[in-house]
Parts: sequence; structure tokens; C-alpha cells
Amino acid sequence: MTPSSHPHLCTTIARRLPLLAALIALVALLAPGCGASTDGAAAAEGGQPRRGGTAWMETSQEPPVLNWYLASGGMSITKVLTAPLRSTWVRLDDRGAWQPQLATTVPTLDNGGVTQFPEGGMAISFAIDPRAVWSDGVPITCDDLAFTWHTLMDDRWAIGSRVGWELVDDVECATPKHVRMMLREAHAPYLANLLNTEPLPAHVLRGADFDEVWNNRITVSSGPFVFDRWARGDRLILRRNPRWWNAGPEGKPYLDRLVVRFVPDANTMKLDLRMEDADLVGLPPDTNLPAELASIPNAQYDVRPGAGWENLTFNTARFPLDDPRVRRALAFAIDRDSLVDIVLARQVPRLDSTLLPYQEPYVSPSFSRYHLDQREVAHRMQEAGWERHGQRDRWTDPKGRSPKLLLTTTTGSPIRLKTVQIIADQLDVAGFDSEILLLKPEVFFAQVVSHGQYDLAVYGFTQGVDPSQTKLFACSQIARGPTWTGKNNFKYCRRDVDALLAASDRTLDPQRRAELSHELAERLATDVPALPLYQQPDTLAWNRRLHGVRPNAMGWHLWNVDEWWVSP
Amino acid sequence: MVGESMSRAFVLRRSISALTTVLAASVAIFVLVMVGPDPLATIAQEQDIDTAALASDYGWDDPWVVQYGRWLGRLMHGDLGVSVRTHEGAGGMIAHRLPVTMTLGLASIALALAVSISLAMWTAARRDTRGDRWATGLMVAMSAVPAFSLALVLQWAAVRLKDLTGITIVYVGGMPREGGMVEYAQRFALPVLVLAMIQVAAWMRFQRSELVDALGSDMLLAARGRGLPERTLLVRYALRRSLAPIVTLVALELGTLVGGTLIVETIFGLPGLGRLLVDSVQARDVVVTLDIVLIGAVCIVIATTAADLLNARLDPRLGAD
Repeated sequence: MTPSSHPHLCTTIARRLPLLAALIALVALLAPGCGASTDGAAAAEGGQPRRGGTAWMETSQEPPVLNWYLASGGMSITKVLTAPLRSTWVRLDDRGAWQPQLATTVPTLDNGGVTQFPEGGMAISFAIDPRAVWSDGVPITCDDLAFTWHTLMDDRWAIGSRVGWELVDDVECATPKHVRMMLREAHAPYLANLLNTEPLPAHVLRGADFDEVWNNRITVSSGPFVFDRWARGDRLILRRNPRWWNAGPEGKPYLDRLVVRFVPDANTMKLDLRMEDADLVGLPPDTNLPAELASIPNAQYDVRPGAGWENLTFNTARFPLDDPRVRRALAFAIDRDSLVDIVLARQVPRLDSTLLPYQEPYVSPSFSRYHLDQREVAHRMQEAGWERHGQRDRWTDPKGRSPKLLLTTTTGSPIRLKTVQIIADQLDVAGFDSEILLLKPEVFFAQVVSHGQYDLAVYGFTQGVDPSQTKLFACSQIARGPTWTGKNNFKYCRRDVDALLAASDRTLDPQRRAELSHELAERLATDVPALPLYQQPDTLAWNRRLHGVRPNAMGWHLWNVDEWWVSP
Repeated sequence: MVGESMSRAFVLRRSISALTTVLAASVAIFVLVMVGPDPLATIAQEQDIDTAALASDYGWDDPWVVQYGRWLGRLMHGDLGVSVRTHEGAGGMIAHRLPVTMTLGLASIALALAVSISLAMWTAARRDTRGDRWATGLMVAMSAVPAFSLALVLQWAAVRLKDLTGITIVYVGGMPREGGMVEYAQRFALPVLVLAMIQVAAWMRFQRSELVDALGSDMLLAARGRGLPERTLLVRYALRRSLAPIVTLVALELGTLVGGTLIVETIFGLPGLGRLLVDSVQARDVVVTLDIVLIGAVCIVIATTAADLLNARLDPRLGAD
């Protein structure tokens, strides 16, 4: 039976066709998700790397400027996005091990690259890879390292951190490719602070205004890609560096372009990944994120404890948190286990140290003493002379003050929002009023926490493999005007802690340094300038078109971008 | 001749009024932005420049009257200043974002106008029937749906469509990868649809009500009595009589483009003026904030003035002294 033989039936079908089509479309839309879901584990890479193509990456954060050495370029995202433009002397691989990059070896005491002098100083010697050149073909030399040191120590420029560099007495260049850095005292975190850094091109930047010259474009690259264009609010485009010194016989990088799009909405990023409009997305952690990503066909994801430790920062310079007894009381008012259970669905464990588990043997779980205990809260507050009374049953100090604590965090992170909500609830139960303030990351970091305009703040610090915590807890690292640089946002300053930090930084022997770290951990747990909450989950998702991605526990996902390639 | 000279006087009066409003708005905007958090105490610290140098660079150490005069003078010469946060020219930043917002706004208004007028005519011609009640009810329900919910539903539908067909018919976010009209259409389809649907919900009911009134007017009753077909009455007479209020609504919508597109710009990852404004306000970038808010105010004044003039043309009684 054909429609032509039954004109009446044909007409009927034709009349009903729009309705039928609408019905099919509706059923299709409401049907459960089709397509195979992945198990979340990174799939084995298949096939030979292919040259050419563009990888499309999405991230929610956009840096204010590109110059990672400046205070305003201090956000992690600046370093992440400019990583393809930079080679460092040594770098961390995805197992947290140091690898030489521009240097031919990782200088250590064992291999003679580091010499410790009896009078306290040290020398770091290494050779620069003879192939290393800038993207304009000029060789990368010892002169570039000396220029970097001079630039970072120049008071005219708003440098984010000078830790380590201020100990350098001289950079000796026996030949253009041989470096000897002379330090006036031993500096154990020399790999993290001095050599996991990238040189600045002296031939390009000498005489330039360093506060301005690399804010909106990076003119010369030492990495596998070069800067092409930055359309603010939209995208950053990086092109293959045809002169990359480490291209190898394969002629890396494989990609022609890497385009990073700035998408403020995490949900849209997930949908873009699903629709294959994005090849790789860096997502802010969320409670159900792993389950959501597992449901995306043709995508894989990686969730692992990252290099950041989330903490509740106490502003120790402001009443009432200038009293360590009150800080200890607050630490007993917060149920960190419930945060990990409710907010993170146990993707990562509770954190009991200001160091991360991979920093053995320096880690000591000194904060495990703090757990939810209302009796301890009462005991500590009474010890500080506070009383809980009044119609609302709030804690009141001997002068009759009952402060409302300003609890702040960044926007754009679902788990941070949930964390501060739960903390506010727990503080309320314990008898403290609080007020939540959400701020954009650049405002939060550059204008609020650094300036001490808060009582409590929830955010994270990125931790490398070196256990040095001088940048966080030393008195010298308290941000002060007019430059407001320094990461000691706790405003925590103790001479004995400074001495411990300095001793640890000077100790090259790992065992002795571990002992000093444990002593420091004990002091920090007693003073509680911060309460560690959890190790930040690091979530990366990418589609199967993109190959070569090796998530890095240190959080630098673009660390091996030269090995990425895309299928047709 | 008399009508023309009166119309000219009306145009002149409205133009002077518009200029005065823009000037008053500029003073109000300047004062409101400058009484906010001290830019010296915030931006200077973020940028790591000493306060005195920044104050001198941006002229913030002068009295407000001088600062206002300088700002206005610069604007007259087309100089929008330099962003404190990014060190880029504010004019360039705004020019880069403006096309996105204009595309979103104009396309959504055009779509909303076409749909709401057509739907209003359809329901007005069938007033008090089941179809009229369904359509009107649907619009009432839709007007209660927030833009972000609508955006999420449409995004989800687009993904399901891709899952079903294997082809990307519309994208759920972002600017075009390489350009091309087709990709532009695919990228802007959903945000434009969201904005248009919100507008349709309001405009359609308004327009329907005006049309029903017009169809019941004495003039239309007389015309109907003379045997003119219903379609002619609706399209040629009732529609023209009922257009004046919708013109005002459209003008107001045009004027609020800058802020009105913020939610869709954020959800769909489009770099428009709304997002730039919010970023600037949050980063205390007073230079860019002042410029964008003033542009928004100028848009509203121009749009309402244009609406007044257009209404006067549609109904000459409005333009008479």
C-alpha cells in the first residue's frame, strides 16, 4: 500500500505530519541521555600524533593582565594560561618530580649543582640548554637570568613576590650558557622560588616599563606557543612557535593554535564540552561534578586532589580574631568533616595541615585536634573572658561587644558558596553572628583579603612540592600599602615563627628540614591563623578528539601542551 | 504649514529636553560613581602604584567639579579615557563589546516585535475564543519565567537536539570560532530567542489589548458597517491606531539594552557591554563604569525622544502645541 494509491490516507498523514513531528521531537527531548558514558578514567591514547589543528579550551576566570611576575598578575589563572609561552629552568612533571627544562640538569647537592658554603651562603650552577632560543631566534642566555633578577629586585616595578631573589648576591655568567647564582644564605626552596621560574628576554625588555609592557600582550616567548591575540571577555589565542627550541624530531608542538575562551558560566562550559564546542574545560569543583561529567558522551575527565589547600583564613589583625583564644574557639565551632561530606561528596579528604599529603616527609597533621565540639568552644571563649547571653544567646566580650563576623569568599565557585553557607550556619549555632560577602576573585584578592578588609575568608593557596611556607606566614609577607604585595593575608606575625621559617628555608638537609616543618606545624595549629579545610579537588574534562592531555597534580594543566594533538 | 511649524517646535522642544536630561544624568552618574568606594584606596592598591601618582595620572586629586568638567570635555572630543584596571583605552574596550550587545538587543527586539504583533493580531481577531485564551494564558505564564531559567531550558533543548541528530543546529554559548554568517546565527540564536521570548510575553498582551480596543472603536464599527472586510479593518486601521504604545515600549527596551542583556551575556558567554559593566563595577574601574553608564543613559534618552517623535508622527495630536 502506497500513499499514491490511497490519496485520502496521504492527505490525513500530511495533515498530521506537523503534529507527528512535534511529538517525535518532544519525545526525543525528554528521552534519557543517549551515548555511552565514560568511567571517568583517562582513556588510553590511541594513534599517532597528528600535526595541525586547533584545540579549544574554556575557563571561567580571566586574568586582569598577562604579566605573571606582577602583583596584579598573581592569580593562578595568569600562570596557567601563559604556561605555553614560557619555559622554566626546571619544571614539575605530573608526578611532582623536578625535571630540567631550560637547564640541562636539575642542580642539587648530590650532583654538585648546589654548593653550600660553611659561612652560610650557597651557589647554584647549571648549564643552559644550548638549543634554547626565544621565539625571535635570539639565544636564551645567562644574561637573561641576570636581567630577570635585576628586574624582579627593581623597586620601580610592582613585583608579586621577591622571595628567594632577595638572597641572590650575584649572577655570574662564565659563558652565555653557563650560570652560577650566588646566594648570601642557603635557600632550600631554590628550585621552587628561583629555578621554577622563567627568564625574561633582556634584548626585548631592557629599558621598558615592566609595569606596562607585558600587561596585554607577550611579545616574545620561550615556550612552544607564541602570543597571537587577546580579546578580553572572549578569548586568548596562542599560535605554534615555529622556532621552539625543544621541538624535538617530532616538530612539537603538534597543535597550530590553542584558543582559550572565557566562559563565566560553568554549566555552559559543561554543555559546550558535551556539544563538542570545547575540547577541554577547567571546571570549578562542585558536589555532583564527577557524576555530571561521567554522563557526557565522548568525554573523559579527571578529578584528583589538587595543589591547592582550601582554608578558613582568620584576620589576626582585627578584633575579635586578634585573640588566638577566639580563633581556637572558632576552629572548634566548625565541623570540617561535614564540609567534606556535604560540599564535596567526599571527592577529597579533610585536610589537617597547611601542607599537602604529597609533601611527605614534611607534613604533620597538627590541625587534627580541631573537630566540632561546643564544649571546647565555650571553654575557649570563657577563657578569653567572653560570655554568652542576651536574647539571641550571642558571645559578648568583657566590653559588651558582640561582633558580626564578615565572612567572605570568591564568586564563581559553587563549593566555596556552599562552604561559607555551612560555616555561617555552624558559627550561628556556636553563638557567633556572621555576614557573607561574595566577591569577584580579582576584587577579593587584590582589594579585600590583601587589605585586611574582612574577618573570615574562605579561599585556597597553591602549594608546590617544596614545603616552604615563608610566602604565607612570614611577617615580611604581610601586604602593606602602598604596594600591597605579599600573601600573608592572615596578617599573622610572630618572631619565633619567622625564625622557624627562615631556619627551614636555610636547611638543605631533608631530615632536619622535616623536623623544623613539624615544629612550625605545631606552632600554626596552636595560633590558628588559618584553619585548613580540604585539599581542593582539581577537575579537568576533555573530549576524545583531544589527545596527549596529562592532568598535573600541581594544577598546571598546560604543562605538556606541546604534546597535545587533535584528531580530525 | 501651521502643522509643520508646530511639529518643528515640538522637535526642538524635545531635543532641548533630551540634551538637558543627558546633562543632568551625567552629573548624577558622576556623583554616584565617585561617592562609591574610593577608587584611590582600591584601584591604586590593586595596580600597585602609589596613591599620589595614580591620583595625579587620573586627575583624582582635583576638586570634583574640575574632574567632572574634564571628563565631559574629554567625552565631547570622543576620548573615553583609559581603564584603570587593564590600562587599555576605554573607547576600544567599549567598541569591542558594543556590537555583541547591539546584535543581541536589535535582533531580539525585531523578533519580539514580529512575533508579538502577529500573535496579538491573531488573538485579537479571535478574541474570547479558546485559542485566544490559550495564547494569552501562555503569555501570562511566560512572563513569569525568569530569563536565566528560560536560557537553561533552551540550552538543554539544544543539547538534546544535538544528541538526537548528531548535528549542531544551534550552539549553547560563546562567540563564533572563525566567523561566518551561519555560525553567527547559530551562536546568537538562543540568546536572542531568550530575550525575545521575555519581550513577546509582555508586548503581545499589551498589543492585543490595544487592538481589541481599536477594533471596538466607533470608527472601526462604522467601517465594519460599510462592509469592509475584517482583515482590512485589522491590518489597515486597527493596527495603525494601536501602534503608538508599543513604539514607546520598544523605545524603552532599546534604551535598556546595556543592562538588559547582562544575564544572557553571562550565561551564553558573550562578551557584551553588560558583562563589561559588571566587571568594571566590581573591579572599581571608575573610568569604564562612568563611560558605560553614561552611554546607557544616552541610549535611553535618544530612544525615548525618538519614540516621542515617532508617536507624534503616528498620531499628529501628540505633536501639537
